[in-house]
Amino acid sequence: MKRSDVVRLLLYLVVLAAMAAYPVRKILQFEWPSEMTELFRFKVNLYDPYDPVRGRFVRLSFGRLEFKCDQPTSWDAKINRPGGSVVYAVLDRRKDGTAFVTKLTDTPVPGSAVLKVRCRWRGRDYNPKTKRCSGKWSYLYDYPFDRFYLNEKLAPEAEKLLRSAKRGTEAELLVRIYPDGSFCVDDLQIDKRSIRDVLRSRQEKSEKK
Amino acid sequence: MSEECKYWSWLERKLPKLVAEGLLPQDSAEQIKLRCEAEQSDGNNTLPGYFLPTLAAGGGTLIAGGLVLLVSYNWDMLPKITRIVLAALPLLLGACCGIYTLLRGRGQAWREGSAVLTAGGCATLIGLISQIYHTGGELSEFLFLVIALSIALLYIFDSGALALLLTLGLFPCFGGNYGADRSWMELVLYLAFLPFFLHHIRGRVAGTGYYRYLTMLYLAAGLFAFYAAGGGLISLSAGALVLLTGIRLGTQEQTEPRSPRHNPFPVAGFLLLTGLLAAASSSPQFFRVRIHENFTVSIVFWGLIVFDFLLVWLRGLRRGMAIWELDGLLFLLMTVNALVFFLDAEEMQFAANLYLAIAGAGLIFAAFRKKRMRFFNAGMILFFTLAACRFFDNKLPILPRALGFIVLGLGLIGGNILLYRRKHAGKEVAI
Repeated sequence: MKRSDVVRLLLYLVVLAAMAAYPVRKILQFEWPSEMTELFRFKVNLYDPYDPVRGRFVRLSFGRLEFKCDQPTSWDAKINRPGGSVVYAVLDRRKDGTAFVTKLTDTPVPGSAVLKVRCRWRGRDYNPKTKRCSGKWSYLYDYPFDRFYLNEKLAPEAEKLLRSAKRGTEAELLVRIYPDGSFCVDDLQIDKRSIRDVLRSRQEKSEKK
Repeated sequence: MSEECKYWSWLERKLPKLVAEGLLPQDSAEQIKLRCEAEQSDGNNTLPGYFLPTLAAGGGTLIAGGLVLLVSYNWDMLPKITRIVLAALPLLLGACCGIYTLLRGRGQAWREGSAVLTAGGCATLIGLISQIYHTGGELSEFLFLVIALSIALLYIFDSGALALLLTLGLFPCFGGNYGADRSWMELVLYLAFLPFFLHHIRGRVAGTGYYRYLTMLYLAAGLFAFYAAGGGLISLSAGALVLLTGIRLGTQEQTEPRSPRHNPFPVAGFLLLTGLLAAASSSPQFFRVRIHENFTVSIVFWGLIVFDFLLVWLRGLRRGMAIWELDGLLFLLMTVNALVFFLDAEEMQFAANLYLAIAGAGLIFAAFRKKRMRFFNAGMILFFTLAACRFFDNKLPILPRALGFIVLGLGLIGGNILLYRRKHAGKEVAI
């Protein structure tokens, strides 16, 4: 074995260790979090696209995500550039347990659950009815989660289920929020039941018939 | 027909002339002819060098596509631990292949395969972990991570295939948040490719032509990524550097003449600069860069380009390479470019127009002095670029514009005729 190949082999082992380290760290972070995580429920709508590489998944839609405040902040000058800006959304719960954003900041707030979101527009809040700008400032942002993976039979069924569901049927995304602003999607629930269970029970019923 | 075959064919065609001129005896000519025929027959029977790798790459892609579909088919039904193990399999396979290649000292084909397989395995593992935990994320972030982790494989396996894939990956990696400020990390990632390409474009290793074209792609990715952050300052300097590198490489290889296609830098550099100068001449936005907002990254990147420029130039001088007229014009461009720190955008637009005119005139002057048609045409292209930009410039009155175009057109035709006559009057040196 040539001396240069020995050096290459050692370097290669270091690179392999680095390549494995990232996913291992992620798995450990998600399975055994070192700090307390909080579970939040987000109201969602879903539809079912198809991607040849990623397979089946349901696309999550949260409607127009807008945050309003009285004063523009000092950090938001970069928001209106192409690509927007990543900021921290401070989360809280409504009375019904669903999550909402109380504040947008450029740094994590200690003691509060924060989520990294991409803020893509900032401007004066415009009221189309009065055709005037209110005194407030409006920030448009996107949540970092926009899909939930399901198998190829369940994904189209999920969309059909919500379309044919009775009024008042609600889909909620359960997201585990980590102290550094990262997240992991736990489950997608329909009327507080996991979507997988709901769909499987529907499938079993239809097979029995 | 392979490159070598063409030479044998050329030699065979020249034989009758050499015999007729008495330079070669008839017997020797016949022996050489037999040899030429044999070599051409051998050459035509062999497959081109790229045939098998292309087939292998196509087959590998199809297999990978099939596996992706197979795995994504009801992937959700597998338990989480099985999915994680399956996600790690390609990387494990790549690792086994890589370790075997290095332990046994296998050839370049194995090295290319190991590099691509390991990088692909890394991308698969990270992508699937993100899917298993539904963590989402953006394509640009994913590619940034994969490229950052895989870039060392370029140097370990000296892989041209991986270099192509990673360079192509730079476009979506930087394009995800196009226009956003570039971070230090992105600059470092981009520059990490540089030693690899510099090593391969010098012509001392195999596949120089391939790497030179790949370097063009790499530079295009850099321009795409950093234009929004550094604007005209960085773009024009990079264009000047490409052109100077091309000239230096071309001069270095004059002793060993090769096809102009082997060195794409001069043409690419010239076209790039012309396009950029056209943009600079047309719109003040080109120089309205956010240097003050993004000062540190811009100035460091620009400083690196200037440093490289001087290094290439001084090294050329040390090797006794002639100073070309273009060297002076490129130095002028770097100086004009530096004015962006002192002038406003509109003044810089005027400077770009002035530079186009000076460079065009300088090249035409050089063409007449050295009787080189190529310089003349290059100078006229610059003049035409300037004229085309001004054609759509509604700040200038129509009549001077019209007269200017007519004079330029007559100048082009007259100059070409004059140069052609001088060239064919027996005074011309080969271009």
